[in-house]
Amino acid sequence: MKLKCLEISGFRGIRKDISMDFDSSKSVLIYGDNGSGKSSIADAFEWFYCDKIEHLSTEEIGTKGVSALRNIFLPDSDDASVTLNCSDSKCDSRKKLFYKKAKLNSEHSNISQDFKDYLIESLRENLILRYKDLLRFILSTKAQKLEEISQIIGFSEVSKIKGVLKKAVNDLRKELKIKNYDNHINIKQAQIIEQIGQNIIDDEQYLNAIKDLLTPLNLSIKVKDNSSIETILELLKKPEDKEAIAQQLSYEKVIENLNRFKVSLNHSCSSYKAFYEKCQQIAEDQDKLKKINLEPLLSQGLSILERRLYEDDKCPLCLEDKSRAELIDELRKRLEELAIAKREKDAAIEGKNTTQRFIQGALSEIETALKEKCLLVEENSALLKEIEQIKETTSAALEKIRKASLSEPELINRLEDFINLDIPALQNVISALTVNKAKIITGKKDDLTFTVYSKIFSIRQSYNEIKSMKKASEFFSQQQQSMELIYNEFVKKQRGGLCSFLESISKDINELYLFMNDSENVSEIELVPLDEDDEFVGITLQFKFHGKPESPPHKYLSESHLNCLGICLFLASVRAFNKLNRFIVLDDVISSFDTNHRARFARLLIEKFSDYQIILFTHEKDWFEIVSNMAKGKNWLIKGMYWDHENGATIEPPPLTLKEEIESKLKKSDTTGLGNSIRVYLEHLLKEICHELKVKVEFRFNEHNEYRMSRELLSELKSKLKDRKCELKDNAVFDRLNSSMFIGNRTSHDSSFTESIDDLKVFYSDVQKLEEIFRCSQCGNLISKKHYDNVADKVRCSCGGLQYIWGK
Amino acid sequence: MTGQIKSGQEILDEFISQIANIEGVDQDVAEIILKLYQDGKLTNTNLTNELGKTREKKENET
Repeated sequence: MKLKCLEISGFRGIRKDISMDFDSSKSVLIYGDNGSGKSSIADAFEWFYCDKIEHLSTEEIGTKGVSALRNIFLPDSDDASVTLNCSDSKCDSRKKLFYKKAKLNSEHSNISQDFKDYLIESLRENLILRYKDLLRFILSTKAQKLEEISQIIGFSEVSKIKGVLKKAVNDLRKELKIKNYDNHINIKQAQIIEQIGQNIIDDEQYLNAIKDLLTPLNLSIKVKDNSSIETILELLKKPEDKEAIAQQLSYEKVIENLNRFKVSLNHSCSSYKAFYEKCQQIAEDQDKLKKINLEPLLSQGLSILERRLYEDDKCPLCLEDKSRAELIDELRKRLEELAIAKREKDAAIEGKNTTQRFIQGALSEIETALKEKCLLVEENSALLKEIEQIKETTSAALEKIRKASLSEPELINRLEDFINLDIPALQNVISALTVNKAKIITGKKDDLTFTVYSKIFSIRQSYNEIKSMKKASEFFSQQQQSMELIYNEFVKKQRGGLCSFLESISKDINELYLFMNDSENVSEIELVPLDEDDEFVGITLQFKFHGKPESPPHKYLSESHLNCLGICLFLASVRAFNKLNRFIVLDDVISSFDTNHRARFARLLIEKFSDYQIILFTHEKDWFEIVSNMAKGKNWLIKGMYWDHENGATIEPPPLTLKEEIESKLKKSDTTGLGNSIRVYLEHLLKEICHELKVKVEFRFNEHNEYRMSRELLSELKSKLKDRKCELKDNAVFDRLNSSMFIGNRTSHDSSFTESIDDLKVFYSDVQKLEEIFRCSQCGNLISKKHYDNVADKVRCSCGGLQYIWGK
Repeated sequence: MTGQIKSGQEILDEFISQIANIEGVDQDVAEIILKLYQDGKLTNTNLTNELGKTREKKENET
């Protein structure tokens, strides 16, 4: 999707209607001084697509910045509006901002589903870059970088599903531990051993054991399978034994519940002990616990400082003097400490929950036991009381763990105060119940049929329960193993996906950065994932500086290089994510660049992003000239923006370039300032030529490097041409320019010399000649070492239409 | 670049559709996850409930 036409009315600094026809979706370069309304156009784009303007969405302005959108002179009865016509007319719309019942409302004229879908998709794309956003990603924390990239590539959903799978694995693991099938099977096996003196591990042993028990009875029915056992039990059952059998089973049930209770109690105690120890560690530093509540405030503060929304060297809260860098460092350290404290707190809460589950399980065993009728008989009343006492103690412990709060450590007792049960007494209860159960059998020891019947009944019950528990345990383990396999594969897949994305975008960032910073000491820029225990915790930006790996970039790179990196990140993300829109808006993004980087950035946009429609704003006259020269013949529109009190912002033809200004004055024979303009033009041209051919000049510090005089550059250029045996070395234009009286700044000195228009015409004609021999008339580019043919030993322009010998 | 890169959604779609092919994974578990994902209901509670139901069903069958 590209843009065809933009119309803005009564919006931000735009008082009257302005419209821009992109002439079949051409790129556009717009020059305007500060305050001329360029950013109002960028704001219009942002509001149209995002329904808010980030830099206006402050607490002071409120309402997502909407109240600051209408032009201040616009009558309340008029609509402010932004109209965009696109290459696909289904996405054309006029968005208006209007008052209705004293409230600001906005609506799109296009209400089709296609357009709604288009807006939603566009929200995921990177369409606008402003100067103040350049460093946002670079300076964000590793976790913020991960969050931002995750959101863009839809990894938030991946992380969410990963969380679901991980929790399912942990829940199954925990549940399996709580179910404690192995222990319950052991209890049942003990019951079998008690009946027949041996264990039963399979059906064959089971049938043989029954056969052995039946041998003294000499029955005609043979034991073949489960149904024959049922038949035999029916045959042996006597009505008068019914009560005794029920009593025996009831005893077995209570004994089993009490044994299970013991196991759950043991687990509860170990779990509580670990929980208590964690609580003690936390209780030692209650301050730390309280400070966890500060996490949102500190994170927000760090974000504000990192995004440079507050730049004073003072703490924004206490106003104490402190450098911004120190504040950022301190906040990062404190947030890391809080993250550790939060992990400790979460682990303690997890310990509390696990203890609660075990205690609940133990209590449930006791409650089940208390329902058994064997405990209602008179002779067991003392045992009943003891079991009820155990229930009370367990209930009290459950209440204590429920109430346990990390912020009230005084309520978290030592283990002996949490639950204090007399385990030997419990064992005595179990033994007494076992004796009472045995009495039933002893009372009928002469009744062989009863003895055989009760044993078979008990074994059948235990064996069937063991089989059922084994099955349940098997299904549980099967699910747990499957979930673990799935989770492990998922982690691999997630890692692979993120790494391949980061690798790919890193390659793009590198390519773009090196294009703008050739022959500098930065290389191999990479976005690297950071993880802890299978979890991605962040992304860091790593690079090689003088061949040594370093991170983060702001450790060594200058502001200009960091901005350059910010632009490369944005452009790489445009290539990666903008699948629908093929336009981008760049609002004054090169302010901190030197001449060299500006020229390279202009070339980068024109050469590497020629398939994108670029809406490029600048208030820098020099850069405007560089881009407008490069953009000629490349399907770009060149515009200017102006602002006056009466009309607000307006779009006009662009200001004259230096060349156009010179040619206009020559035509009108106006010599005012003409000599100086030609000298400036010559200096610009020579700087460009020297840069492309890597002509070395004497070292100068920083901005002094910009102030090179033409004579110095001409002399070094000629010497380089001679050195490379280039056919241009003897071109007469060098001597003509070198001996020209205009090459120095003569007219600006206290001198009687007066420039004549004819002299200046000759001087300008030589400058043009110089440009002609170095700039290709077909592609418009200068010959450059970048296009060096090392087989033919020639330097060329980008299209190869102009080439010269360049010896080694 | 965009050709080689998979979005989070693409990674999820591809992975979930291939869960059943992971060696050693119980087919019932794979089906539960696939169904919940396709219905947009793959949450912890739903997954735990469905796994529990399947275990119960299998236990009753035997």
